[in-house]
Amino acid sequence: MGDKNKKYFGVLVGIIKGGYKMFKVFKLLFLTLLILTILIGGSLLGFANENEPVKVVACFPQTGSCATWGVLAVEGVRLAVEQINAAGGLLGRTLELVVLDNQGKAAVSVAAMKKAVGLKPYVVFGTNMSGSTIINMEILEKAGIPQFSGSTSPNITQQGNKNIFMACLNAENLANKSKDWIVDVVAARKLAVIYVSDEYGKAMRDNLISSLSGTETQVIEELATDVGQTDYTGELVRIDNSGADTIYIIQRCDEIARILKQAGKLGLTEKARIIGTETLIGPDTCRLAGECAEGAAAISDLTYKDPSMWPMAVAYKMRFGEFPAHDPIKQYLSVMIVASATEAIGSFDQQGIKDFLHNRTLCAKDYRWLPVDVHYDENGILDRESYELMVKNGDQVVNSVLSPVHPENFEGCSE
Amino acid sequence: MTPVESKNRKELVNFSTLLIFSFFVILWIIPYFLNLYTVYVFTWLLIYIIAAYGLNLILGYAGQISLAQAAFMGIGAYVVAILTKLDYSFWIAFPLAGLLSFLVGIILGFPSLKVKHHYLAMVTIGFNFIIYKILMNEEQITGGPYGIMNIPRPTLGFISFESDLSFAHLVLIISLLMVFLMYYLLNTKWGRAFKMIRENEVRAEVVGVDLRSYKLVAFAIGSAYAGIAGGLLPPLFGYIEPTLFEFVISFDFLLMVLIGGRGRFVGPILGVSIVILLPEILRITEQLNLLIFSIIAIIVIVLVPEGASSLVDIAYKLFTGKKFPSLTK
Amino acid sequence: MLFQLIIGGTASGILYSLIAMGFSLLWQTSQTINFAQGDFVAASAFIMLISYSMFHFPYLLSLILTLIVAAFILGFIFKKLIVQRILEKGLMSIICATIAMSLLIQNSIIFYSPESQNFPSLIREGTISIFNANLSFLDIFNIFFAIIIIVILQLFLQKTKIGKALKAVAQNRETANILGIDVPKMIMLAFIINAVLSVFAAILVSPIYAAKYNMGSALGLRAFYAAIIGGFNQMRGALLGGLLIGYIEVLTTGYITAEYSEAVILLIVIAVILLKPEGIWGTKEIWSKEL
Repeated sequence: MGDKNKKYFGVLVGIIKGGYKMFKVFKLLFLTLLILTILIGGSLLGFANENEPVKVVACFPQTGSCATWGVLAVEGVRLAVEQINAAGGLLGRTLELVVLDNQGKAAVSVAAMKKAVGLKPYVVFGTNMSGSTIINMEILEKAGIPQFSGSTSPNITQQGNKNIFMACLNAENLANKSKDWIVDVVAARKLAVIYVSDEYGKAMRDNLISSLSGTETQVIEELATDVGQTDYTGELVRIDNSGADTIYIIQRCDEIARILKQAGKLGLTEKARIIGTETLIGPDTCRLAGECAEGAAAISDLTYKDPSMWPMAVAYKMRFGEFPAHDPIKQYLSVMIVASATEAIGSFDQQGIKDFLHNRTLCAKDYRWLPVDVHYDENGILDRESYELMVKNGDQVVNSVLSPVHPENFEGCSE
Repeated sequence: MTPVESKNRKELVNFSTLLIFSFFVILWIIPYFLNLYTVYVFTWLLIYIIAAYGLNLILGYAGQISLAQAAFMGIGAYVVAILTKLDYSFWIAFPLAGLLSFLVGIILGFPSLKVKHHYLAMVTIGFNFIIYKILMNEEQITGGPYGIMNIPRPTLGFISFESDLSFAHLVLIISLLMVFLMYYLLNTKWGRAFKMIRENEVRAEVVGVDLRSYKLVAFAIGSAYAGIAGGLLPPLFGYIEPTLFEFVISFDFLLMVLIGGRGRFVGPILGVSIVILLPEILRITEQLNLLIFSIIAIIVIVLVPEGASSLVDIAYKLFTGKKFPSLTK
Repeated sequence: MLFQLIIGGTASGILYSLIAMGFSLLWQTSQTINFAQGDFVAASAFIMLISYSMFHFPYLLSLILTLIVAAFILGFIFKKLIVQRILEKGLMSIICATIAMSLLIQNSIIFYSPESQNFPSLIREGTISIFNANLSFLDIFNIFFAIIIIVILQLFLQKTKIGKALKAVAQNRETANILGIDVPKMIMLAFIINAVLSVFAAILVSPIYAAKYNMGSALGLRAFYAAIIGGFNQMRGALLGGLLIGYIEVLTTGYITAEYSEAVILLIVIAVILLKPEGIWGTKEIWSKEL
């Protein structure tokens, strides 16, 4: 045997010897790998079975800073699913709700949606944050699973995705609807806007500003605030100083209460008219801000005070302890839209309900599950009437009803 | 080292090579067996592992706190996103992401390394916040809260990494390269210097180690790793937005490195796996998932402060009666 | 407008000071950086809510109950079960453990309710007008109450025997030990005082901001900034720091920019760190322990 061969042989022996000695370590590592595989495989397999009930997935933040509205959104879906099941199910089959938490983080929402696809659900409700939705809607589109998002960002429906449907009016349509009201009814001439600097706030603000350009309402002050901000003294004093006659508040639920209370502290609620988006006049705002919310008004596309929504509101209150805010109502509505479409076509056909809903007006009188009239265009944009809502005596009150963006679509509904 | 130690080490290195080779083969094969969801988790894990290795270098080996890993990931991600949308090749943008992160790391590190520990933590938190604010507000460049959409997956000549599977393989290769790079780095005189700094700064200085430069370089390299990891996110998602790089993500990385075991070579792998996989596995508990996760995290930190890699030590000792030799000398 | 802003800044600043002082106390006595400091305030608020709103105990009784429970869990248990075990392992482990605790507290509260909760206030709503500025009773009350608490704390530390012992431990543990002071007991006292401060901060803060599971994040961060700017290792530093943060916050938003106001605070914090790391009113630290 040559020297070289000896060397190679020596190395081989070394490896084998070393391998034998390290066999125990290898055993440990192998065991760990095995356990990990079992865990992952197990959780995968656990969801791979085909069951009798029809699965629907709700993907909303259950933890993290957005949990406040995320938990409410799930409650809306849950109420709808429970009501349908109590009445014998959809087309005779029970609905099974699977809740996936996305922690309010986009990366986690991708994991959740991909997991959802593995569950083979009928439809997916979520996500409501536009950032997450844009990332994850492609996943659902590829799988052909219809998606209902409660986001208000217009650019979601501009991506050419035929798989997604909005659960409420988007920011652009809302802003256009509000414009006339702000200029003529509220007669705001010097408007101060205070908005939260996340995608919801910025979308609303952008659309508000562009809809008001060229009108008599002048935006004299624009202030961005942070999510979860606690102290608004600086912003409010600045607004006070600017001499605004109206303040437009675009915030998520709790920040509104804080702003209103602090504005009340400064006496701002007496000096200026307070208007805003639908979070302004929600039941939780009334609860938290007390009399500081008095007189606040907003244009919203959903309210529990609509007589047609009232049964749902009462049921929600009995089930969850308080009247529903915008988030649970819109999720409830999207479940009911799915139920109506499914019953209309008579089977759980995913492509079928998508085709059914595009360019269709659904009148409440024609569908037993549907509380109010809605219309979808070919991009999944929702249209319906909206309301001028105001807080009077600590309660949300409907001042007037505004027509949908395209009222001609709804003519068949009022017979 | 004594002859016995040297022989042990040679055997370990020989066996390590065999082990690593077989691991590589296994890792390469795994994605074929995974579905849509688990391929994503696999890729996500690998990307985060790269960034965690960077933080491990800064924290575990050079003894500095950085709570800005997410910010550097953001820098890397936006560099790649912006350049690839402007039709530059991914293969140009990607190294640039790492380079820019390295340079920013040097600029940030230069004044900050005068200060210690909790002050450095503050500076890095501040940096993360500021980067996040810039990403959110400068809509012209970064797309603001709407982010950047429709980012294509890279292609190399005639190979396209469009499919999830092939992209997972690409990320696998890149992450293995980065890990080997780190291994090499830590086994040169740089690595020894880092370890000395971590152990006792005064002694290191006496021996002649230029503290400032080494700390600075460690910080910059660690941040570059984060930038490179960030550069892989745009093609993964096809879309990026600022909330992916909030400063809470930096805290997540800190947790990963600590739970894995700081200053341990396998630490980042273990830490990232635990911090990402555990909540995913805990999905069955719905709302309780993070609650249970935080309880487990506290228990791990309190009972096993050295991290999960110390469990490997214990297991090794149990089986072979010998101390697990350090992979980085 | 300036007067209005100053009052507003004082009102929020003094609350940050309260929280920062507890933070500083923990650091001085045991080198503990408590990243969950703000969440301690949130936890205290919710303990208060559980006894007041859920069990309908009267306010004073709820307060006493909350003080006892908080002192036990956030003071005693926190120190004994968590901090004590990992203190030798270094700062990093403590930071990580407190981060995990922050997660734990927040997610436990979500379990109770993810929504904001109304918090009972000791003072009725209302404002008075001075010099063209609107001052709410709540703000004035908060400022006075916080000052009283701070004064009591200072008196305790300066005048009582235990207080002086605690102060000695805070200044130099080794020397205090040599002098015969029971150091572990004093450290435990520091943790309990921190818990008590958190409770008081909670009852002052929550009526204005409403109690929510993530109220602690912003507050804790502000307290951290305050301690850094004012001086980590002196109580007076925390007091000054809190007020400064309050003022910077309102003045930046009021006069310069709302969008980047947080960034301005951070830049100032970073500047202080780089120029005078021990804080404006702090003293240079002697590092006896490596990371």
